[in-house]
Amino acid sequence: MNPNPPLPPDQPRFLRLFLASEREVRRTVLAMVPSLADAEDIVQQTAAALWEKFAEYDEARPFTPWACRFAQHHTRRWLERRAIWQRLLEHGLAEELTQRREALRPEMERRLAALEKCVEKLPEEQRRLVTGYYYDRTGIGALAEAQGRSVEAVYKMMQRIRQALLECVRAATAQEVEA
Amino acid sequence: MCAGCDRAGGGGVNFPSPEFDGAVAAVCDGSVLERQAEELNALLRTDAAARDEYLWRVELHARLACDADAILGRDATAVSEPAPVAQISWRRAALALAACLAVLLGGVWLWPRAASQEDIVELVRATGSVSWSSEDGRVRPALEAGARLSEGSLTVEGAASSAVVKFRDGSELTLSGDAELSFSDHGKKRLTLRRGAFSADVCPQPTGHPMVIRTPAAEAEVLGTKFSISAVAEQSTLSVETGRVRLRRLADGATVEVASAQSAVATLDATVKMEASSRGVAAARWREDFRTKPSELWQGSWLPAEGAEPARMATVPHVAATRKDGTKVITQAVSRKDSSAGRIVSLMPDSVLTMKFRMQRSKPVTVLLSRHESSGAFAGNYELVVPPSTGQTDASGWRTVSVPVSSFIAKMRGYQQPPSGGQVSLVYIVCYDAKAGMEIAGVAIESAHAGTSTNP
Repeated sequence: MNPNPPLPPDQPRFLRLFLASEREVRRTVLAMVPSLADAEDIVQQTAAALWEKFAEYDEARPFTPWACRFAQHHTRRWLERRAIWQRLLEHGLAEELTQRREALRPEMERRLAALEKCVEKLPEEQRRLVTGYYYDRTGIGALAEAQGRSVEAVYKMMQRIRQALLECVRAATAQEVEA
Repeated sequence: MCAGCDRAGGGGVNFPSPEFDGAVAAVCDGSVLERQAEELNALLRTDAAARDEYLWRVELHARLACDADAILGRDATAVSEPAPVAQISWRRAALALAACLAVLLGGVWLWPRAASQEDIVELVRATGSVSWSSEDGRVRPALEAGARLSEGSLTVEGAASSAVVKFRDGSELTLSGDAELSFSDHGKKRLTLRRGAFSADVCPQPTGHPMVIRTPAAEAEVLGTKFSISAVAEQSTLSVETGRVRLRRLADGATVEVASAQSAVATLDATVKMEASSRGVAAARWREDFRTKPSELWQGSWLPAEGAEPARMATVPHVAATRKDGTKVITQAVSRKDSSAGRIVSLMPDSVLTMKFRMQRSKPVTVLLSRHESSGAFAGNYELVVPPSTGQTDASGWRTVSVPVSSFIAKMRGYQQPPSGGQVSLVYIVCYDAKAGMEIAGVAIESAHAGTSTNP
C-alpha cells in the first residue's frame, strides 16, 4: 500500500475557493456564536464538511453562499448540543437575529469600513491588547498575566475598547454624512 | 451564593444598561453565564433596539476577529513583534489545508479541538505545576490562566501549586497542593477527586441535577453551597461552610447530612459511625523541634540528635512546576501538611514564624504557608523569601530567623493581604538550589495570645 497517496486533483481548486470565502464563513458563524474558540471549532467542522461534499458543488453557482449555508447548518447542529447557547438563542431568536443581520448588512458594510482607522486611533496600550486578543489569539488569562492585571480587568478593558470602537465607527459615518 | 453567580446579576437585563453591556461582552468573550444568556434572550426577543445594538456589537467583534490580518496586521508590526507575510498567509491557509489533510488521512480529525468536545471549565488562576489530561491520553502540561479545558483530569503537582477553575455557570473550584480531579458536565457536573483536596463555591444547580463529587471512599451531592473536601488514601473529609451537603459512604451506603460549619469523615471502614460534627479550631501556637521522629504529615529526611548535633530534617526533592516540554522543575524542600484531625495552627495578627536552619551553601530560602478559612475554604498560598544574610548564626552554623506572618505575600491575586485570621494547612520550606544542603532543626508559628497546638 502506498503510504503517500496522490492528492486529489480537486484539492487546489477547493483551497482557492475556500480561502476566498473563509472570511465570510467565519463571519457567518461568529454572528451566531461570537465566542472565538467555539466559532473556530464550527469553522473547522464546516471546512471538513465542505471538502467531503465538494464533489456535489455546482461550479455554475457562487461558492461563498454554498459554504455559508454549510456554516449555518453546522452552527445549528453545534448549538443543539450546547445548553448555554441554546438558552441565549432559543424561542426563535436565532432566526430573528439572522434575518435582522441580513437587513442591516449594507449599513454594517458601510460603517464598519471605518474600523481600521478607528483601531489606528486607539492608544497604543489598547491597540496592543486588541492585537493580542484578535490577531495573535492570545487568551485573556495570558494577556492579563503579561500586563500584570487581573483577568476580570482585562475582560472589562476589552469591553470598553469595543464600545469605543463602535462609537468611533458611528461618529466617522456621521461625519461622512455631514460632509 | 458564589461570587460568579452574583456577577450574573438578577431580575432581568434592561437596555441600555451596564448589565446589557456586560452580558454582550460575555457572549463575545465566551464567558456568558446561563442566567445572563436567559435574560439576554428575553430582552432581545422583545426589544428591537436592543436586538440591533447586540447585532452591531457582535458584528464589530466578528470583523476584528475575521479581518484581523487586514485591520491589525500592519499595526502588529508597529506595536508588537514583526508579523512576517508568511505567518499571515499561513494563518489563512492552515485551516483549509488541515481540513483536506484530515480527510486524506483516513478521516482522522487532526485538529487539537475535536468536534465532540466542549470546554467545561476555564482555568482562572494557576501557580506551580498544573496539567490536564484526557482519557484518550492527550496531555496539556504547564497550563496557564485562561486555558479552557474539556472533559478530563486536572492534576496539580507540588505542595505549593494551586489552580482555580470556573464552570460556565460561575461555580468555582480551588485545588491546592498535590491533587488530581476528573470532571465532566453532561447536564450534571460530575467530579472525581482521586487524591488531594479542593474547596468549592458552587452556584445553585438545576433541579434534579446536583453536582456529584466522588472520592475513593465517599460520594457527595451538592445543590449549591460552599464546602471543601479532601481525599487521602481511603479517607475523605468534607467540611461545609454554608448550605448542606449529603455525604454517602461507599463502603455501606450510609449517609450523613453535613450542615454549615460542620465536618464529616468517611472511610472504607463501615464499622465506624459516620457523623457530622462542629469543626475544631487549631491553637495559635505551634512548634516542632524534631526530637522525636515526625509523623507522616512531614516530608523530609529525619536525622536524630547525635552528640552536639540537634535532631533535624534534611530536604528531599519536591516537584515545583512542569515546563512546557513536560519535564519537571525539582526543588529541595521540607514540608508539613495538615491532617483530618485539624489544621496546623491558627493565624493571629501578631503571629510570628521562627525557623532554625543550616545550609552548606548560603542561598535564599522560601517559606510558603497555605491558609484556609476557619470554614474550610482555601484562602490562598503566601510566601516569604528569606535572604541569606537574615537572622543570627551560631558557632555551629545554625541560623535562627523570626519573621511576622503579616509580611508574607499572597502568591495569587484575589486573596487577603496581609494574611490574618484563618488557619495554616501547609508549611513548605524550600531552597531552589539543589546543592544548598538545607537542614531544619526547628520551626514554629506562634502568637502571644494562645496555647500550643497539639497536632501531630
